[in-house]
Formats: sequence, structure tokens, C-alpha cells
Amino acid sequence: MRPALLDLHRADVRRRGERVLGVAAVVAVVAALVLGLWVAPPDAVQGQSQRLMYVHVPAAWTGFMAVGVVALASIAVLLGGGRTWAALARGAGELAVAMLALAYAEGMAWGHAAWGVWWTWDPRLVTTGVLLLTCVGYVAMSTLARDDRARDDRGPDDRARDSRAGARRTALVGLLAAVEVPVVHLSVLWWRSIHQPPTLLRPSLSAPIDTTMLVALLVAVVAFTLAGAWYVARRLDQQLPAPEEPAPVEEQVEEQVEEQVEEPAVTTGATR
Amino acid sequence: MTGWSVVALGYGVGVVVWLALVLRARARHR
Repeated sequence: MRPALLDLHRADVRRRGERVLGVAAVVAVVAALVLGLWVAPPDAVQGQSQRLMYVHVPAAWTGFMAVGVVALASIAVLLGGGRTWAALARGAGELAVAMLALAYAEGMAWGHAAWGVWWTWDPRLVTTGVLLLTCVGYVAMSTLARDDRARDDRGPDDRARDSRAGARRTALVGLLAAVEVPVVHLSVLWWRSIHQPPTLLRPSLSAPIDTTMLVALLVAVVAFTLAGAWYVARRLDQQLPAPEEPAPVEEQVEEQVEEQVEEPAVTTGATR
Repeated sequence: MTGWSVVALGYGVGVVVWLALVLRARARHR
């Protein structure tokens, strides 16, 4: 039996976990804002505009992580996983769109200050744009599949078959997005790019960055990651059936079967 | 646009995006 603290099938356990994540995210975001806007020094060359990096880098990181979650959950869907995996992938897909768009916006503002242009045909910018559009496509596919599930002009068998097909199509787009992430990350190394190479995630481990700036950046990355995890957890809860709602008939039957199977095991444990 | 004005624009966009996500995640619909 699962310990109650970790039993994510229980709505109250999930809610408590979300609250802890939410509070931790708020604390980390406040710390990141203080560090990024006040404690960290202005850059010697770029001046104040370098502070955009404390939003740009965490947003891109969280976007990539979210695409990773989409990919893992999509694999689970393709292997026959149920609604929970599809709902997890959907929430992470939405987060990926928001974070990649935010990373793009921050990059544009910084580029305007540092390069003198809002946008240019550059490998990093183009590959990131393709990834962002793929993620938008993923969310759109997921919405299409959801709307198709809601149609009631088919028999239950056709409906179940169409639902599985829609989930599989959506999952394939999720995997396509995951394939693009390493291309985006390595684009600055593969091709000649105006975008700088990675500062932290690079072959040699010593990061060429001031310690205060590094701390501000890492705290911002933690803050974005926590807030992103909170978002995905909340969205997962919203998409799954609420506890007070009666579960579909098939699930009720499954639960009854599980209870029948579990009961003797509990009795044995009690007598031991 | 340079210095603090571009920082204000960037952080402002960040606040708007996160506010939208928080509102969506806290909405009662499914």
C-alpha cells in the first residue's frame, strides 16, 4: 500500500503538495526579484539590460524542461497510458508555450539593447521559433482531441477508438517538439550564431560569470522551475475528474474489482 | 531603449505572462 503522504491519486494529498509548491515558488520568486533587480551588479559592458538574463535564461530552461515532461508523458500515452498522462502532457505543453514565448520576448528586448535589432535571421532564434510553433501546434492538437472526445454522435466503441487515435496523434507532435530541444541548445555551437554560446551548460564546467550574478541566475532558475511545477500540478488537477463527481462506469467497475482483490491481502496483514 | 527602461519592459512582460498562467491555473473550470 502507498503511504498517504505520497498517494497522488488522493485529491487532498495533491492539493497539499500544490500548496507547498506554490508557497516555495512565491518565496523563490521574491528572492529572485530582489537578487536580479537589486543585489546583482550591472554588467560592465551591457549595463542594466543584462538583468533581463535573470528572466530570459530561467524562462528558456523551464520551457525546455516542460517540453521534456511533454515528451515523457507522450511516450506513456503511446505505450497505452490513460487520461492522467495526456493531462500531464497538456499542462506541460501550455507551460512550454508560455515559457518559450517569454524567453523569446526577453531575448528580443535584450537584443534590441545589445545588438540594436529586435530580431534577426540567426540559427538560435530560428530554431527556437520552430520549437515554439511546434509547442503551439501540440496544444492545438491536444484541444482538437479533447473537443473530439466531447462529441456524442458516435457509439461508445467508435468514440473510444477515436479518442485513442487523437491521443496518439497529439503525443507524436509532443515527441517532435522534444527532438527539437537539443537542436535549439546546440544551434549556437553547430552554426555561426550571433547568440552567445551556453554560459552554464557547456562542455567545460567553470562558468565565466560573477558569483553574485551566478547566484541570482540560479535562484531565478529554481523560482521558475518551482512555479512551473505548480502550474502543471494545478492543471493536472483541473483536467482530472473532481472527487465529488461520480467516476465513469468503467472506472467504478475497475475500483470494485480492485477492492475485491485487495481485501483478502489486508485481512492477512491484520492477522499476521 | 536602453538601461532600466528595457529592464522594466522585460520584467513587465514576465509579470504579465506569469499572471496569466496563475489565473488559468486557479480558475475553477477544467
